[in-house]
Amino acid sequence: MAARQFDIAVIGGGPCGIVAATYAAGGGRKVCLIDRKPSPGHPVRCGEAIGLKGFASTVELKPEWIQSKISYMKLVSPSGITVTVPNSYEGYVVDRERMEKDLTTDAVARGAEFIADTSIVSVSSRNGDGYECRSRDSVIHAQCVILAEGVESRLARNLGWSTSLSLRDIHSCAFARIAHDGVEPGTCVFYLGVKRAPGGYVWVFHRGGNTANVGLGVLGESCQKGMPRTLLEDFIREKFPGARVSDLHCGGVPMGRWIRPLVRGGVMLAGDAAHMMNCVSGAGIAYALYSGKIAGTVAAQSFVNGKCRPEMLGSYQDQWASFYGKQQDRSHAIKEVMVGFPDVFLDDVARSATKNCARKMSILSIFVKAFYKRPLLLLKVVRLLR
Amino acid sequence: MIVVDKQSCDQCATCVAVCPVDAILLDERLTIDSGKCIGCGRCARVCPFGALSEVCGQPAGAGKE
Repeated sequence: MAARQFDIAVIGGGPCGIVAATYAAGGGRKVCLIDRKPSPGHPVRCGEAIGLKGFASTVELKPEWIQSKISYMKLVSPSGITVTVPNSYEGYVVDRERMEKDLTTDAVARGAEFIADTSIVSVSSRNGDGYECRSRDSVIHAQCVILAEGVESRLARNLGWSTSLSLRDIHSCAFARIAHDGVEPGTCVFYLGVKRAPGGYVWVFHRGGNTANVGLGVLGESCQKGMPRTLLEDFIREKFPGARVSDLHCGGVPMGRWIRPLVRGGVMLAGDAAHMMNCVSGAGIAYALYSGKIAGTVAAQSFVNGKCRPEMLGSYQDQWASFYGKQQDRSHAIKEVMVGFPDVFLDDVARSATKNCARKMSILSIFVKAFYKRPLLLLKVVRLLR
Repeated sequence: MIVVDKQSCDQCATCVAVCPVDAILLDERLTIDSGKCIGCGRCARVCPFGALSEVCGQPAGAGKE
């Protein structure tokens, strides 16, 4: 089987891989973007919410992607106390399928070749001459490989990374789209509580008209066979009786620390495959776009006289660590504590937030008031955050 | 041993993400390598749609697939 030759192979056609291929090709290299599916962006396994900041300096947000502008965030405590906070950041629910189609078109316009319907089953080193990526019926050779294959992160294991997620570091999720007149416009609602979603939460994100993305994540440790789907269906029946339900899908969301190192030889890990995720909000699109951008840019810059110099790829991890990487580490520490919060505590937090004007209070002061009654829990938090 | 119910599987690869021995491959469909599988049951536990089941005494791939 004749191998096709590229400078840089990007594996995985989600937002991270597409942006990585765009920047790598924009840097003048011969690039391919390989995806298992016939077309990008489908099915969407995501709540599709992203802040305007998340797009900053990566891709330009196109108005036609916007399904809803988010003006309010609502938190519903286990016993049903609702805290409404005006959204202080500009944020949107976007049509990810459309976004990814457009971004793929951009990548191809920059010169990347999109190889669809191709499932890479192994990546191996060619002893100093780049890497070999194999599917069942094709072989691709590349000097540098960017792995953006999503949460499964299996190919990285061929190359010595340990990417298997512990059950403490994954949310098992079910997603659906609903149409119902009870959907609140311009609002993202989060429901907490061990009965609704043990170790996780339920979200309802307005997606234009009377539709919303509804999803639910359960911490792997607390999950039992098929639980996310059952809980999601129960939730929709309870809160949106008679809703039209479509696009029921499932997925895993990494909720641990990002993988270190991000680079081995000429291979880079990015996006979900590198477990990049805000462990509190579950926001991953911005992380995926940003890591794709720097991975693609650094990969293209590492070529000297047509050869990739792996020692030049290290700045990818440095850039990641100093920006979103730091944020993720903080979010992970907070998540570790939050998992241990009993439902009564969350109710206390919500109660103290509603008693005071949430507009004037910071999230921190709300928590401080709630912790006041539970000094031992506060001690645990401080210890973990250090 | 673990068996896959092809009807319920949404091909989301959550099981692949938690498998400690790299026994699960998602290609055109999900397959479990019974030679590698240690029967820890993590995959069955986290599958959001409950498409994976632990079955006693049967090799992976036997029964409904």
